[in-house]
Amino acid sequence: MANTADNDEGTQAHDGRSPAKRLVTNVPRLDFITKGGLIQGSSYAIIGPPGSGKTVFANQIAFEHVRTGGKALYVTLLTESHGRMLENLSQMTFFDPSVIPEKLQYISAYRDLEKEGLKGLLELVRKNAQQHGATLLIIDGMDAAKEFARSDLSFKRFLQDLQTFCNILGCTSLLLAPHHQGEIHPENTAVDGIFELSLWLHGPRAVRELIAIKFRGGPSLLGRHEVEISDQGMVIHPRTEVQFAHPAAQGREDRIRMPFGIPRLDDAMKGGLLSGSTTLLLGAPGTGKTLLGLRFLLEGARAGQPGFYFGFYETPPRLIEKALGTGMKDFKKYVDEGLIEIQWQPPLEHNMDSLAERLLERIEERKVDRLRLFIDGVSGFRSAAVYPDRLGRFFSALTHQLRMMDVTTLYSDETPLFSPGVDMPQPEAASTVENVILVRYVELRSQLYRLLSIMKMRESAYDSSIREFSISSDGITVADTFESAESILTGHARMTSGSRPAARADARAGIKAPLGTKGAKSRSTKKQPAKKRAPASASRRSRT
Amino acid sequence: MKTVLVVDDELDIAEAVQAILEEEQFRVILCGNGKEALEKLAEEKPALAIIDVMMPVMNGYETIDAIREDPGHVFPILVMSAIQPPKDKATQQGWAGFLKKPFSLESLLESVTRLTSAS
Repeated sequence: MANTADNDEGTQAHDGRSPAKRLVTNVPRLDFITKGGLIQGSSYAIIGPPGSGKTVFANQIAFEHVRTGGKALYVTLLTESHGRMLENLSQMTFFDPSVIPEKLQYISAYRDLEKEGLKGLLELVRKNAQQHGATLLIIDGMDAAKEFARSDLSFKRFLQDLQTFCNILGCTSLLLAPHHQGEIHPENTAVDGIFELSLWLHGPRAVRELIAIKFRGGPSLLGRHEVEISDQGMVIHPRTEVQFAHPAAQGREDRIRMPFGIPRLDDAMKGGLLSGSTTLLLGAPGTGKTLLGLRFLLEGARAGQPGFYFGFYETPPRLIEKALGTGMKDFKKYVDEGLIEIQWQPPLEHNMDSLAERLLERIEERKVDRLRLFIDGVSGFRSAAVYPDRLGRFFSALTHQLRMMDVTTLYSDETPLFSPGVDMPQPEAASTVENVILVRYVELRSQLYRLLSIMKMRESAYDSSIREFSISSDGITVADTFESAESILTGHARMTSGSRPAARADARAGIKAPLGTKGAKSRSTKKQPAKKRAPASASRRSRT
Repeated sequence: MKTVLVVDDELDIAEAVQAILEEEQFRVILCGNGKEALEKLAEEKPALAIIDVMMPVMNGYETIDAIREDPGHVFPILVMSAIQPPKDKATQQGWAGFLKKPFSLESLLESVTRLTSAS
């Protein structure tokens, strides 16, 4: 018997009726969209323009169906020849010539259609489906059949007759037809489900989608889902925000602090980020976001907590080199041991939902507790987005799912390099993430300083002081408050006191000279104006 | 003029083979399935039969078995298919040749010329 299932989720009847039997397709995530598979004995229209993957899709279902014990009949009407079709399919991993023709039979019915019209086609299909014991029937080229119909009504009648026969036989049918945007097919009212495959250009990128338009007999994830076709066949990537609309798991209640191992930063966060929380690390290119993220993973590894780097820009060797060059000498050891995993996404055209799947599946596979995740950065997802208006909902769903998996996530995101204001590149993220840490350059007295401030920390007290931080071969150091200037967040600080920025802190923390200076000693000889007051923006305060 | 019986449900392929062979001065009879072919063989004595494997009503293997049951049908059979047949099928059914679809004009003509020149 083919891979069928009594669905206990999607079509579980609440009124005592037995649930519909499902034909499990095993096309990656199609059964997730249909909440268990196609409904056995039902008919589905697979429509789309030429090249959108209808034939691959139907054949993939057919090969999987016969692999699990079913029998399939593939009927063609004025489509590419069987030889050409099978030659193309032979490149796919699901293709298995040993099942043809005993379990999967290909026949052409155009001759009968031409000679005897829809009646002849119906007769031929009935006879062969019955003889073959088909549990899956595919008719490829329904547009040719439609040409032989006297009217829409007679074509609907043909479909109805076909459906009735298939239903008696317990045979699921897939009816493939070309379709162009805007076309209305009256026969679509006669089928139980409609899947439209589309192929269009988004800039230079070709985008494939499966649009679940109609699915009778149970709930389903209707709407657009991106699709990839590779030698594995078709892979569907359901929209992340509908996949995790109702997360099953609950986050852990015994939350702990996840420090960075950078004393003043951890102090400002009252011990570190809360486990299971999401933090946005915001800053211009080169401000040290990646290093802070790597430091976060390293500190976790030192405490035995697993880490996962999911990034787009730097290769694993570059990251390890970067860590080694900034005092994180044992970073490579933890990577080699597998406690820290680096997953680099090469600079290719990505699919946003596929990236999220890859990330979540890997986390599931690792089955570890207290995982620290560093996503470097958000723009990798943003550039993969075909519909930018989805980003807010996408990140909200992804973040929520990570939270439920007790993953402590740090996202990096870039602000413009030369801009006085600080705008969040993803404004919707402000409400999604619990914490926001801003790192930025600030210009003061012809010097550039790196500054860090905690802009937001939900569920925890924190110190909002603006602090200078430096990166050297010894590591990352966060100084005491940068309290001698104001308008710091604009990037163009103004002196407010007699002392140079963070001078006192430098003395205590032994911080090196700011970017582009030769050393603290030479700076300290400069005449400084008298200190007037500490700027309000830089005052130390606590929030809850 | 030698007669070739072409049995294939794919009309475009059958008609292409017919056009090619007629150009080479063969007389071609087209059938869409095995049942039709057996009916034709009651009145025709072809020099060669070219038979597809996957067909509705009666497939190629069944058709060849039925043809071989009649000792009067001594013409060679050239099998064509989009799939590679089981190893022993050709010997078991006494095929004279096999063409894997899609095939080239040269391979078709070479096979047909070779198999009809003996008769």
